[in-house]
Amino acid sequence: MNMRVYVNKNLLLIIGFGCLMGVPLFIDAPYVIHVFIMIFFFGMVSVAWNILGGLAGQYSLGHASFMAIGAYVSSMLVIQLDITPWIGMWISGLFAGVVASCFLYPCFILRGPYFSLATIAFGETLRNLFTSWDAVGKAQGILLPIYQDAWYYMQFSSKLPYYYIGLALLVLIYVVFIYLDQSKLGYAFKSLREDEDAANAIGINTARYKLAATFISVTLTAVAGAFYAQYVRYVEPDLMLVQYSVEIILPAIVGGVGTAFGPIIGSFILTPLSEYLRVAMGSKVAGAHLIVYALILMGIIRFSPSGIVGWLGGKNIFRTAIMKKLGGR
Amino acid sequence: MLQVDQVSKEFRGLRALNNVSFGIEAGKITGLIGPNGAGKTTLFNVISGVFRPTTGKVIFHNQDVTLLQPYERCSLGMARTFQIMKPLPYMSVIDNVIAGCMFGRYNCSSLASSRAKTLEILEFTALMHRKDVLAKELGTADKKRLELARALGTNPSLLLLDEVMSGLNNTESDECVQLIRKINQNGITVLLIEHVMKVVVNLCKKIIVLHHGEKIAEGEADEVMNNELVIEVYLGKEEEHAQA
Repeated sequence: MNMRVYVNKNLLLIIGFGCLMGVPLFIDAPYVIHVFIMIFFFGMVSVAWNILGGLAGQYSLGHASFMAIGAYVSSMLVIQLDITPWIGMWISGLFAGVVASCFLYPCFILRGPYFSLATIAFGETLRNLFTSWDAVGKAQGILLPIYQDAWYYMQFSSKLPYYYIGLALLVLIYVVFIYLDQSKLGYAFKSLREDEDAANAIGINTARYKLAATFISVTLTAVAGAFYAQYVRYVEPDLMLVQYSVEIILPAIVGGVGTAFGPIIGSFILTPLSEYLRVAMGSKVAGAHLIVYALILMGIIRFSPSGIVGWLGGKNIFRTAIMKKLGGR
Repeated sequence: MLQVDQVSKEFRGLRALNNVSFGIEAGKITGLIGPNGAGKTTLFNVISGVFRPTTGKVIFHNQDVTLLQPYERCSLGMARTFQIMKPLPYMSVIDNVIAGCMFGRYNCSSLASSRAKTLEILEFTALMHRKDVLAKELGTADKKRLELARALGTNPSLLLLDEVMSGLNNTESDECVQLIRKINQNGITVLLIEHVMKVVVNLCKKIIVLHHGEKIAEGEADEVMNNELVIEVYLGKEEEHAQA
């Protein structure tokens, strides 16, 4: 594909990316930058979840625990072995990928909601394990030692570097998704999502491809988790709560399950919304922001069950123009 | 090319297939008929690997495939369609067939090469004009064609068709007969389950009749049609005085 065609096809994306690159030039309020970083973070994990949930159709509700494994492992690597997080985050990703693949492999005979239940059980087991495990600080979790502006430890006094690292990881995970979507692996994932028996009958080894989807999805989730640990500098077992798994899934559901761009749109809507409501209402009536958040969420899901990307795609005027640009199915 | 050797299948004491043996010659169209509940689809599932037989063997291209999974049999050249159609609903018609081309015996590793094969197959099965439609939006006739096209995408040497004509009107079913004949002329052996007698007699060189899980007749079309046992099973027993 030559440059010009590429630019034409992905015009919206490129403009969006350019805007995001430029945001810190115009806004220097740390809080706003923080919100952007959280948008990138939830975008990352949601796109990564979408590989297993959206492409391969296996709805995991244990992704928060995989994310937390990434956070724990990279933190332990820094503290115990003095390995730089720039490398540690990939090690922790692969580690989480291998662990999740091994433990979920026997669950692949379970279909639909039963698989989701198994992943909840997996996450809760891990959370209990980490809550009572001395070496990882029990329920207190791990505090990363503070260094001022140390590149080696991926620690910066300004939020800007995290902003760009987060954006880069988001783009990376997005590109992996786009690549998978059009590859042989992606076709295997989608076929087994649509109908396992039919997939089996056309020569797809369903267990093997579920394993591949799990490995890729969990690895990327854990890398995002390691980034989170570096940013927050504090890891605790409560990160593994099912509640966080749901927060990982919501952007994908709201934006469009199985689409590359859906989780990112979803994260751009939900993360600022939840932050805004928390700031605006959290201090007045306890819990009010959660109720409003839930109502808005129900509204979105009620009126656009196939997600924002699906909703855009449903309007014929937009179908050709926008769907193709967003890379949705 | 396919040997079914004394196959029995029990579901918790219910014997769905009892000692069924037969062979299929390469290059021919063979029909499998029998009343409802005779065990035709169970036999299909045993042949294609969805079920393992309780006893007996399935031999394909001189290889014992009894214990192989469906996807392994597919890579040996066995493809099937489903009686209750199983399209990949939220994928377009072309993507359905591309998936077949990628993982069957063509084993295309790139999207481009698999798309080229797919377009040929869509042309062949007359689905070209529907290629960008989601599979779930197709009508029955086109869904049946899609099942065929996806199975052909795996480049089979043996095609198992489970009631591809059911639910089709006369015109559609005639087109389908033509299509199956064309597929067979391209060198693909066909084993089909069918209820519509006209179709079976018209297409099949050899017919196998199942009843209560047992094979009660096997042979050429007219031979089987005149077999007393077969007539009895399909039409009930003739009474003495009716034989004038």
